[in-house]
Amino acid sequence: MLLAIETSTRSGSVAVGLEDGSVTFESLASGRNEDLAETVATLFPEGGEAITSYALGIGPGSFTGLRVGLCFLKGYATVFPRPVAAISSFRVVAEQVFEAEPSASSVLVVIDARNRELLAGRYLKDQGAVRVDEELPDGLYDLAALEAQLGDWRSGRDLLAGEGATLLGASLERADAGLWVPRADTLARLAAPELRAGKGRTIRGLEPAYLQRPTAERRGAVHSGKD
Amino acid sequence: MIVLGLESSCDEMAAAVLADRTVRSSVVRSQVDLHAAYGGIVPEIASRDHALHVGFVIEEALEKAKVTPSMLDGVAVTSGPGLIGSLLAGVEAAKGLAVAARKPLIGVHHLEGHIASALLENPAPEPPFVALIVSGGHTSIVLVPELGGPYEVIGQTRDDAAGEAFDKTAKSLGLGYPGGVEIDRLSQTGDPTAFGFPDVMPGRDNFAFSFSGLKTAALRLLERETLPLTGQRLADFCASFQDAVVENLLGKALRATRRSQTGRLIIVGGVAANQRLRERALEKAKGHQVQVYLPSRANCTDNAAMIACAGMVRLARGERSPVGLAARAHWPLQDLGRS
Repeated sequence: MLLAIETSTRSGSVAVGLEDGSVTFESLASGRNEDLAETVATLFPEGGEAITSYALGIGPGSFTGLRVGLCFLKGYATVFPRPVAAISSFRVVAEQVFEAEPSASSVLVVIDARNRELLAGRYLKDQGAVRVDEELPDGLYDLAALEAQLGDWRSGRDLLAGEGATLLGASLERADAGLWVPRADTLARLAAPELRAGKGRTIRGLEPAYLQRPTAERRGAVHSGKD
Repeated sequence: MIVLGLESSCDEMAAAVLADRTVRSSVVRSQVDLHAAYGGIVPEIASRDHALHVGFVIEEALEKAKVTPSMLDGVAVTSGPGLIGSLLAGVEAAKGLAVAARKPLIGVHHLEGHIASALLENPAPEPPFVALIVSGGHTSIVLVPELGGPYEVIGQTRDDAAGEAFDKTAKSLGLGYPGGVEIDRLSQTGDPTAFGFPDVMPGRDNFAFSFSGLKTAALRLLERETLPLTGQRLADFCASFQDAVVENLLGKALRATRRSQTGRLIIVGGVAANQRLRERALEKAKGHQVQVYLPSRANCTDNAAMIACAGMVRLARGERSPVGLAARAHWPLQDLGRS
């Protein structure tokens, strides 16, 4: 049994994947990722002994949201230590778009990183399999530079997804906005083969994919003292 | 009763296991080195480090205590006040552990934790007593009828906390971070009468503090000096500033204790580790016929044993927090214990 947690956006979700491939999905109320504990407690009223592995949407995304999912799972895994598959939240979105749009050849996922920067990652469909574009992996990109190069990456039917899509103008076709939020059931389906292949890892040293240094490190801003 | 405590309200990630009033383990990961380059705490850096290390700290505390999650009677966690991103790391991990182990969860007020730190000592003070809570983020005089509240805040700072004033003045002197420790060290060889500082917020009935005023007075005095201060002059300045803070704190706390007629004063929080404060508290208490309780230095700074202790008291009363427990950046101590 696989417990999958995706809290990289305001619309978090939890899924439970069974050995037969079926997946149970529970969405958290919008902006209420901290309800994660209640949802998991409801899904496993007798405890999580039957869980054999975890999947976690590791980001990029909301720093707070990512830490909610990660820290909750670190506490949970203290009791039930199991291998975890940490999957890019952008990869989850891309998978959703490819599932809904079989004719798409690439999906560029973008979110606003402020200060005219974007967190972006491009995914390609290659002989039926989805893989990250090594030319544009998940990372922090300058908005103007990214926009200027969009034409170079044309590969067929290229789709744009993610809450930063509106910042990139109208040069790419936008995927249905309902697909922009990474879902835990998609995460569970992506993680299952990795975990079966023994690619799970221990969760203790895991960190979110922030892909950005703290603002203070960039600007030297400092909190005035302890609260 | 065996309780796991977690504390992550600021720049320390801590976990501890308490068996009744015995500390079976206490693990503290300090971030002082991470923030030193900035001269203060950077909230996002604190949050990231907490999220990275929370699992390691919990496991180390359980292993040192030779306790498994199934042996716990509850999980206590600081749920406020503090830096919200820092709090969240401890709160979510505590929720995860409590849900998985199906153990009771209790959210603890950080300042109640500091008050409870005195109960980990031998001898421990019996309530009622007055608590002087003095740290980098808080400076309050509180009447404690019993642990769990309700508490009466007799006086508190109107601006900076005492520890914050130490750190900021240290920064003005070009000392390292955290500056309070440096000022304490340099003061050992200084003359506390060398520089004159004003008595801020005076008056027998005034239990409020203003350390911003003392900090400003320090800046005015430094304007007359050739900077940077070095050698004996630096030591004298540190000793004088420290003495002004200490006398201000103790004068008000001891007067409040006498007025409360409890006869007992506990001094808790990070600044309670200050050598001059500890010495003067014991000296001055004699004249006020007050018994002073000073926790060991390890129990003064943020730690999780104090959170486990405060949580244990509440769990023993049958109190529980919901698994939807949320971190609270702001949480007045006066709100505790109110029905």
